[in-house]
Amino acid sequence: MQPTAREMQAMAAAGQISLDDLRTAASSTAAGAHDDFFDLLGGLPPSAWPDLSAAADGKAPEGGAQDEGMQQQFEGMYDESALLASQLRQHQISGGPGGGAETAAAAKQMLLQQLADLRQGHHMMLPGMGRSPGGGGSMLLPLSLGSGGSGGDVQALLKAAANSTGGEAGGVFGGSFAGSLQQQQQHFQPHHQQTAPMLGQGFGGGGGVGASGGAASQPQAGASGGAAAPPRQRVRARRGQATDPHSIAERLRRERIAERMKALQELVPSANKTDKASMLDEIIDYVKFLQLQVKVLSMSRLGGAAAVAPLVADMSSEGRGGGAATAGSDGLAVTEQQVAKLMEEDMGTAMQYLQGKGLCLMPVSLASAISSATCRMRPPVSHMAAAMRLPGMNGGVADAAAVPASPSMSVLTAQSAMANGEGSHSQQQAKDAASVSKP
Amino acid sequence: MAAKRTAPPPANPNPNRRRVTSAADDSASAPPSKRMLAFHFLRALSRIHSSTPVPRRTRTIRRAAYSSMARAASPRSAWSRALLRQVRVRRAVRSRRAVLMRRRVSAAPAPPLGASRSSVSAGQTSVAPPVRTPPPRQEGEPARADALRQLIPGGNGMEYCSLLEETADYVRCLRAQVQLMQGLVDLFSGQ
Repeated sequence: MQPTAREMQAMAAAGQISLDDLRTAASSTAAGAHDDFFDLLGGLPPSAWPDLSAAADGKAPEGGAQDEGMQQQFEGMYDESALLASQLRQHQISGGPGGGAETAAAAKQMLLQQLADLRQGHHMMLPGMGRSPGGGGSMLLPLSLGSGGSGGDVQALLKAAANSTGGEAGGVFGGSFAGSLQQQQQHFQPHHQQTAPMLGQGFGGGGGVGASGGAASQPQAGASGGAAAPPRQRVRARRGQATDPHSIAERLRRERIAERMKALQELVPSANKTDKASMLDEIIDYVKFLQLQVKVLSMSRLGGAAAVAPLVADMSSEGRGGGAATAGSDGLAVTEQQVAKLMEEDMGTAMQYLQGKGLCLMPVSLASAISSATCRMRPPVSHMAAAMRLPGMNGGVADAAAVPASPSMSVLTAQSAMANGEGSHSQQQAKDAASVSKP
Repeated sequence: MAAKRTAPPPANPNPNRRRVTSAADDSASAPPSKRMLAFHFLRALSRIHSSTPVPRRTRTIRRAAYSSMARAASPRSAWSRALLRQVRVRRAVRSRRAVLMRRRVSAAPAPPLGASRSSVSAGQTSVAPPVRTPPPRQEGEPARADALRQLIPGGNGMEYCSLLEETADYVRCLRAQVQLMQGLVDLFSGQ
């Protein structure tokens, strides 16, 4: 790219100075665009150009150098480029002796026309690809691609300035320049020829700004990297936005955190999703609440072997009795015998055994009172009464958290009290002034 | 004490496999299979109940709940691996408690019990639990994140981003476990 630019500059210096900028600009953009096209289109159709090169061989050295240079740029272009070739040939043939510079200028204008047409073609392609990063820049990006590598990169820089806080690109290319370039690129499609000088100016300005090296190398490098495939184009945009990988990683990380917070927000049932800090507190509280629930439920699950019997095929529970109700009473009977045995040895172990089964001891009078009370009273009230009784009886098991679980358990108490009736109680009365009731 | 079985679950029933593939398709982790949860938990429960009923059953059942949750969850999540590791370490500690006490007694300037036990157990266990790496420097998130780390098993070694993801998975599993247990309680109390 540099040799051709220098070539062009040399030719312009040799030729007419007025078109100097135009030529450099055109050649650079053409070179950039051609590089884009080269990468995009891959293999070059050599058959398209040999006649052109043959025709160019016979030209004046200046024109020939120009043409050769341009042919080198043209290499690897498309069918539409064949049109360009034919037009160039015509120009060369027509204007051969009459000033290679003028021919070159006209040819360049034609070239720009063709480039614009090609860009239009690329415009068609781009929406299909549809992968321009950033919503605001999506309109600009096709234009940027059309204008060639330098413009594309600057567009990316524009986007950077507009969207993110990505610093250096925005800093390097001032807003005014960006604005002017924007206008130029918007105009580019309809007015091919008019834009050529404008683009030349723009690029001349850009070249002036970035001439020291960064910008010049960036667009060209970006162009070379560039419009070949959408993924590469996206990377190029990002590189344009913020060259250091740290800010990109930062941005990625923040995005990931945000999306995960959103997912958590849906999980955690907290209506007011104000900000991240309070959301985090909500999440922590919810996790603590769930863990507490597990703890409470595991406490309530101490309801003896009979609790697991219906679900799990357990030999012992089957031995006791298949049905749920029968298993309940049989389980109680076995438990009672066990408790009786233990009570003879030591009250402490008996109590521990009962607690292990989730049972409690209460005076028979109280049990009968409860059973009679539940018959009379309304169920909710009985829940409360039984629930209040049980924590007192159980002692250590009870705490405020256990109360929510106990209403469901107290149903069992009431039912068992009613179902068992007097039978089981009378059996125990002989043993002691105590009865075993299932919490 | 009722020990938790580390036997691997039997041939995976279809729902779980299907769910795993669907989870692989989605980027987000799928909710745990209710069937696997119920299977593991009920198996653990039956073992606990068939073993001699002992006073300290609450803690055992709670641990069984967490273990079954960790088994039912997909091993891709870090918290389930951390939970199972905890279980193994605890069992190793329990089995070696006698040795540890002897060592502690022999070492005259004995550090506090928990530290010594944990450190020695960390050295002893063949499956050495990973050293608690200090939480990596987090740029975004505030001090509250430390509370979250303590809540989620294995949260200390993670960075904030993965911590949030693990939290989501953990909350889903916890919720499923709580629903299961509540359903069981209702079932039994409804007799």
